[in-house]
Amino acid sequence: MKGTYVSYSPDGSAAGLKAFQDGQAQFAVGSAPLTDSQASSVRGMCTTKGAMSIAAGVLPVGVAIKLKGVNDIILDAKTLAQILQGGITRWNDPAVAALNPDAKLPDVAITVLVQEGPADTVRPVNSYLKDAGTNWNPPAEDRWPGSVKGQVQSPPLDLANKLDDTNGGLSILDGSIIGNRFVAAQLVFDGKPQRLQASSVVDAVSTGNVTVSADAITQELDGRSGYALATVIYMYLCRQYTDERMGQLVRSFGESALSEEAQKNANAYAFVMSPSKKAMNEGRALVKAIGDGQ
Amino acid sequence: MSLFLRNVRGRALPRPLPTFALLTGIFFLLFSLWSLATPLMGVPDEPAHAIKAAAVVRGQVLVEDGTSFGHGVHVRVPNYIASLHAQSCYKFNRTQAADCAAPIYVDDTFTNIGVTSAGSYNPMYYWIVGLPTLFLSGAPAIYGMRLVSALLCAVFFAAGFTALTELRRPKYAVLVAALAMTPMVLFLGGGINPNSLEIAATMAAFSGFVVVLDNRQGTKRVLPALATVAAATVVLANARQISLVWLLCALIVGVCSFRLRRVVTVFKDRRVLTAVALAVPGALLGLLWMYIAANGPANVGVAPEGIASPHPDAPLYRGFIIMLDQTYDFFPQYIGTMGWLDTPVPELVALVWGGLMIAGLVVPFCVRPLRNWTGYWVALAMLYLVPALLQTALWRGMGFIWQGRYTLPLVVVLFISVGLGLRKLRFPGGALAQRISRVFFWLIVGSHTLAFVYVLRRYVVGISEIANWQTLFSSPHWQPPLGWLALTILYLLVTAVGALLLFRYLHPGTPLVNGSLFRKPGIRSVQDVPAAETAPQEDGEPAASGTASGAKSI
Repeated sequence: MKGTYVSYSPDGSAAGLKAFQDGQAQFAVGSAPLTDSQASSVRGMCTTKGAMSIAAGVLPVGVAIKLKGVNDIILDAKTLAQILQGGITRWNDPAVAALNPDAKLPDVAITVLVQEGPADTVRPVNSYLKDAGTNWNPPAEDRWPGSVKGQVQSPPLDLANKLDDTNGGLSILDGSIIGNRFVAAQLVFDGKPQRLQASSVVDAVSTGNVTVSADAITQELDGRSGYALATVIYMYLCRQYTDERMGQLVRSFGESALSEEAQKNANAYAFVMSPSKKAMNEGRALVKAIGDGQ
Repeated sequence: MSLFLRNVRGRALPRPLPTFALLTGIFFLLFSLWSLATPLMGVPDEPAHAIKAAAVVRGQVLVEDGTSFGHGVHVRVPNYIASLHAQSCYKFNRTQAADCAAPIYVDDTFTNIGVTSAGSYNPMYYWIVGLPTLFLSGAPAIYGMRLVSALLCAVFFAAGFTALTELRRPKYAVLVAALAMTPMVLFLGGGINPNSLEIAATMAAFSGFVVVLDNRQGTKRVLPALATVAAATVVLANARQISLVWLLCALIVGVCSFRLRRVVTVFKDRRVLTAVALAVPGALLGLLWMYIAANGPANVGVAPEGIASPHPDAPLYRGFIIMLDQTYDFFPQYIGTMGWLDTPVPELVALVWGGLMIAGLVVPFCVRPLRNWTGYWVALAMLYLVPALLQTALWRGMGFIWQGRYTLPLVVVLFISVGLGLRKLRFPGGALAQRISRVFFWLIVGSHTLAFVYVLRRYVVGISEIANWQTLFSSPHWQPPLGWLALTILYLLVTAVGALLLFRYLHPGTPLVNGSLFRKPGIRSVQDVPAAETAPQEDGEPAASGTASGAKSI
């Protein structure tokens, strides 16, 4: 649609959701689907039909490591949980060494540097550690348990700079920031180490479970197929807008965001993968039906 | 025009109203032509100000809780206004013609969210400028907003110039003030941005104030100037927060341009005190707004993308030193950097005004006694220090955001102070002076027009490495209302009329066109002679150069 534009405010997903609920935004973006009660209670610009959540992208999350002389390392959920909580404090700890028998691990202290929650990168790590059966009890899905060390109030890019200056440092960062700057640990899923790379994430997405309902298209990642630590990006849109012309604008935006071109650009510029084909098709159908009495 | 001349020549009967009306008309035409020549939203930050204006006239004066976000304040305005940020395809890219911009539809009026970074600004300017959106829609409404803003600015510039003509020896001040109307000042006058009103009102406040000081024993004669100061003060207090700084600067420079005793006398005058009493409530309203804005939700969390560069740990003195170092780097922006900092005026235009500005800055060093120049010294010091101090205060949070146009109110005051310093010298009226004057006046008219048509070229076909002037005729991509050629011809005519008026004011009875340029050397016309050599001295001019006033040139 020509002559319109999208204004982005870098305030975080919580502020975005609140703005959406208050009628201060036509749509918002977050890292988890709205619950049924959340979706049906959203008003703002929505009619009584409430809102819906549509998976629109998958942003890999990595365990970033800065350790001189080490270019590859494997961690599993149990070890990672112990490191984050200060149970393992040195890189040559026997538990780490057992996972990396061929690596020469230095006797260097582990410095944990993580973004204080709520943060979208926290959610998949919490989920990974909980699903693996570790004793992991976060106060909320996007917050760290209080026992996690090294929580700092820095935006991700500042956190990356700090990690760069810390030999022995470990952080949780999204894949686009890790890039080639840091070593991303291989993580063990279903007993098998998986490397943080696009093809592995795409494999985990393609066999991941997709749920479809009138108010949500959700995407999960399958750790049996590939690297499954990732934030799924959801668009929150009204199912119907109180002003049909607003509905047209949002429909246009949604179709654009889910178009092949936009998805390719997201991958090229921001290391964001597409949801599975099924999720995309179902998402497009829901967007197309905005305001159609669905 | 004859009214204008009579006013000037026969000072026994001041007729400021016709002068004011005539000048308002000329300034309004100049600004309007810039309004038409610049594509909608082609003036810096215009979308933010247009959105704010449309919101204010719809009753959204205060920033409500929950409407302030990182990118600005959310307001509810018609969609054609809410979408104005989309008119950005040519921003920062002077090779891109304006035809890439989407149409602004008249029927696109459903209420939508607009985002403005001017959310917490004082609503006065916006309430007036936003009025056309209540009864017009689409592009006509936006042009309407521009024209209302242009009229406001024209009124204050005209009031300022009218006031200057009431100085006891006005010619130098009027001439220098006219030259200080750079292409940038005229360009800004055509857009929706309180920056232009700030320049106009500061100029008016300063001019009115010095006229009152100059006529301390006859304030009845200069009531219009007094009214100008009062009105401009209220406007500046209710423009941007920084405007009060410029007002303060202007008043200090004014005070320093005269003897302190004279200033004290003026402030004992009943009429002056009445004007102060009238201005104070308006100024207090402005201060009240500042208090409200300071205690309300934040205006914007971040500076515009691409400009913001926070330096949270930076030592403040370094920002100050960097600004001092860059003092003269802003001069090209005083002269003309149109669009979104993307279109500097042609080098010829920059050279002409660069030369004039350097001459203006150097003249005070050539005319004694130096104490006559206190106002100028203070203004010059302010030009160095005030932007540096203001920018330093903003550095840590927003990075280097200063632009030359922010300082223009002070620049105009600085140059008028040069004219004031020269007032004790006899204004040259000889044949040679007239001849030089003529050439320079045509040079100024030509330079103004060249700047105008160059900016039109930028929007009509885009500026490319090759001299693509011919494509303006052969394949224009974009056309302003009335077409670029008609606008250019009109602009040439209006600037020529303005120059003609000024020339006849400075050299009464002498035409600008029928000059000796076109005659054989050695033959002098009858018209050349009387004004220079036989006409009686004008009222207010000293009887002979230097001696009457005690001033001398070195």
